[in-house]
Amino acid sequence: MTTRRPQPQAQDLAWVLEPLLELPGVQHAVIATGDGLLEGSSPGLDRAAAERVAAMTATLHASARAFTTAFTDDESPRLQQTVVESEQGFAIVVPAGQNTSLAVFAAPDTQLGNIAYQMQVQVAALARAMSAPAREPDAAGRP
Amino acid sequence: MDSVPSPEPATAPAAEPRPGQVRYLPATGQTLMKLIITGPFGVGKTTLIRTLSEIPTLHTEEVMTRSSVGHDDLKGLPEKATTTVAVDFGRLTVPGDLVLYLFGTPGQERFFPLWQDIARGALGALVMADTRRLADSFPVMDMVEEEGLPYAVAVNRFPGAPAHSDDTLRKHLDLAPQTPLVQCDARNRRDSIGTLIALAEHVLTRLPEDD
Ligand SMILES: Nc1nc2c(ncn2[C@@H]2O[C@H](COP(=O)(O)OP(=O)(O)O)[C@@H](O)[C@H]2O)c(=O)[nH]1
Ligand SMILES: [Mg+2]
Repeated sequence: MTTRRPQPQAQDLAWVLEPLLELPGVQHAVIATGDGLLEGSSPGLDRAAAERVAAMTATLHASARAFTTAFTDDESPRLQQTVVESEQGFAIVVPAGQNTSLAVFAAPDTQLGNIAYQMQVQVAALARAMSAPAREPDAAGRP
Repeated sequence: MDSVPSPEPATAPAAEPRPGQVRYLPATGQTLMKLIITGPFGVGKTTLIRTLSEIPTLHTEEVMTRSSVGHDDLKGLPEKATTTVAVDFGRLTVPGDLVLYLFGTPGQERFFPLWQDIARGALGALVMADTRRLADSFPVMDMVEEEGLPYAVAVNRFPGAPAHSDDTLRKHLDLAPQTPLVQCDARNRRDSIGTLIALAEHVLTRLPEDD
């Protein structure tokens, strides 16, 4: 049913993250699958940190969706973005095509609007390039 | 109905608020209890909450992607296509006006940082287990014990999974004598209610001692 494509490697996604990391105040960026696994991350995060961010990106995005559902009764609202503001800065998650999200962390004194806009530009490009394919039933024991 | 004198203080809101009036929790004689439904990946936590809830459940199910191969083991779970990434939520009222709020956790270790937050304020935990991978439930039992939560174990029976007596299961799971163990099919409502009643009774007997 679904066509098999090679899984994009982390470095293949650098072109998505680089323009974001050039923006003033942006510290980290991660691409995560909907089920919380790491697809790509910026160099400032080591692997363990990036994997934790990927898991919590999925959690935050799904929670934000369920939160909207709880208020509206809409079972599958389409989220534009989820923003978490703290003394540490802004954590922003934007859905990026099927089963994928883009997360960015930025310093507290940054232009949130500008970053959010650039994220939308990048996810539009990312969505054209890839999405995380749904897992097919395990082949073990089948002809 | 509304002619029955209310034992509640005068400040309790009317049962049927006027439009525009702020509604608080209904003032009733109900006992509210938050419980968490936990256990490793694929043991049937989400299924159990769906089976039991009397209100539309809230879920944070996400499609399992190809990246999860090698992380999330689907052996013996041919129909599983999605996984909980944050929380499941449902509610069940049981006889005796006991209202159980059910919070389901994700099962994979990568989501464990959430665990304490989901468990905050819970009075007890249902730890689910699958006889094909009993040991997978140990890390979760450890977290529940660290949190000091009373818990019961629900062994969810899957077709083709080895069947064991309660005694054997208790031994394998190294359960304390007072910890309830119930075998169930999480898709069956009667079974599932049984697991929660066992847990709620266990929690209620524990409460006065803890005061
Ligand atoms: N045969 C059988 N299948 C079940 C039972 N409970 C759950 N399942 C299936 O097992 C899979 C895992 O269930 P799920 O509730 O998503 O597990 P969770 O990861 O613990 O939330 C799903 O495909 C369910 O349809 C059960 O009691 N018996
Ligand atoms: Mg689940």
